[in-house]
Amino acid sequence: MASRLEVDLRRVLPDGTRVAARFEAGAHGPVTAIFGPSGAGKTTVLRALAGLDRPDAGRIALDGDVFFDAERGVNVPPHARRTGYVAQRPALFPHLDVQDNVAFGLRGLSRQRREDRLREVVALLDLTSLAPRRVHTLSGGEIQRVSLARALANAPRLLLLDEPLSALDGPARTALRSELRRVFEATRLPVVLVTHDRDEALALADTVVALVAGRVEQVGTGDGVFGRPATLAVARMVGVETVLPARVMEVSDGLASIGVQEGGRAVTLHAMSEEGLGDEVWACIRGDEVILERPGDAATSARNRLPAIVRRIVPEGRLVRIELDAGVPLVALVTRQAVSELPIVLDEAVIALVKAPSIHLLPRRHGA
Amino acid sequence: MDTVALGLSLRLSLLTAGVLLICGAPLAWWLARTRTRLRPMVEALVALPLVLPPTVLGFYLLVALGPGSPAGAAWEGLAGSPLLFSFEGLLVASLLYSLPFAVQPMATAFGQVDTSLVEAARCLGASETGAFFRVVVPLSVRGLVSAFVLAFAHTLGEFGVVLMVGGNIAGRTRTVSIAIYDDVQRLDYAAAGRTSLVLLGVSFAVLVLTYALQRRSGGPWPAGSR
Repeated sequence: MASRLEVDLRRVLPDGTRVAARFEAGAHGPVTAIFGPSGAGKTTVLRALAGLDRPDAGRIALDGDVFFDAERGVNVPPHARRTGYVAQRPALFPHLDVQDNVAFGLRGLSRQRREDRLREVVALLDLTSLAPRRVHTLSGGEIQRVSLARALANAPRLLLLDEPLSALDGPARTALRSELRRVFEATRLPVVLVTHDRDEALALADTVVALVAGRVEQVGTGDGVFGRPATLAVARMVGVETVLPARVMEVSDGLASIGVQEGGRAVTLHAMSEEGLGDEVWACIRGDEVILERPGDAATSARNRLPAIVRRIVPEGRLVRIELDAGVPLVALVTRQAVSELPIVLDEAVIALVKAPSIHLLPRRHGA
Repeated sequence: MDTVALGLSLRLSLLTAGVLLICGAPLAWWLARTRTRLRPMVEALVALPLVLPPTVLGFYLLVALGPGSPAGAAWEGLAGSPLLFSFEGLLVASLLYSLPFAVQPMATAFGQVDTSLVEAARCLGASETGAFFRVVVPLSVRGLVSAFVLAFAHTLGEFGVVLMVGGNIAGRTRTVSIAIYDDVQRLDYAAAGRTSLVLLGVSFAVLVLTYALQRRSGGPWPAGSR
């Protein structure tokens, strides 16, 4: 069953920042990412959902149950909301071991149910070996997994994650990201996660809420927000000009052939393959990594050589944004000199070159 | 050595420290978390017994607890005997006199507990009180111990306030410090010396214990309540 989360809140922070966030989540799937730069008010929204911060005005409801309604004077306290909240700074109880941390919220259950619940989450997050450990002996990734298990043990109605991967780097980050995807799919819980990381939002979320300077600028699917930014603010924030939904067709010698389908036409691209991607991926191409040349048959090392038509030419500061139709939409950022020397002319043909390592593949959730 | 006075002092000190631990904790918790502008006022009120001469505190208590005052009259109606110059009156005075010694270490300890831990507990279904007892108290054990110990030690040594509101009634209000004073007045230096030595030993032991407990979390004397 799809959960519906309605959020409409206004809050002036002590430093004067105004947050006015209004969105609905749940239509595209259970996982929602609040995406925005730091200071945009993401954490404020999440804390208001958990009941830790009281908005100045507005209304918050999950499946019709009102958590907060300023007009009716409703503000359900955090312990009665049953949200699983994992803060950005891990807050495991230092006086308890891992097992007692995870079992903290299970008071009031019968011993049998408590042990069942505990066994369930310990298995789900593979914590068996950690259970008797003291909290201060855990690594960053382990701390995040235990925090997640503790929140899940409580059988929350809504899972709230504040920058779940930001404390980690490299392999630990990738590992926890796939772990999160697995947990989301296993539990089917409604999730709201806060992130400033595009990869995280694309890889994990069904719905992306773009929050810039306290305002919701766009709500949509990952490719909607990242591929077709609705406002300049979102476009500036997302920073990647081309994001295409794609499917991995073949992998050989570390090179993946991916099929991209947009508007009825199919194009095959070549990208570097990565471990654990799955079949459904996002193909992300930065505009400044796309090279344009005159049509001809010059040999090239670039794996992707796409005949394209110039559809729009938009000057953007020192660079010029060239929107192309290469079977699929593609954006190139080139210098003004290049536009006049090549020359690049509206509705004329060009060849777009993209090296395989310049196509960044991200895992995509099924159905997104 | 006046063992009756020593026993009375110990009983008074234990009771005072115990009551202050229980009743001072909510006040300390409030002081550690509140953002109200009234906080300096409350902090100052709590700290007043630190700087007031005991005789001044004793004088106000004498007036406030006397049979002519509402509190004194109410007590007399209830208990059938006056509050002043009784053990109960002494207890009330000691509670006020030792209040800062219990509240300040607790407020410091509570203030050092990471707010995010309390929030985590709240989101895991713990009420405000539940989070206090399951997270804040276990993480503030040292602060609680030093609050108890300091309130105990301070009450054990009080003199001026006792003299003002308790008088000097053997077995009821004569505490060990009064007994020493009496001994000296009677020029019985040997008795005064023995009792003083006991008091010195107890005080020293109590402080050693406190400092040992506080070793890893700073001194027992907070600058403010945080």
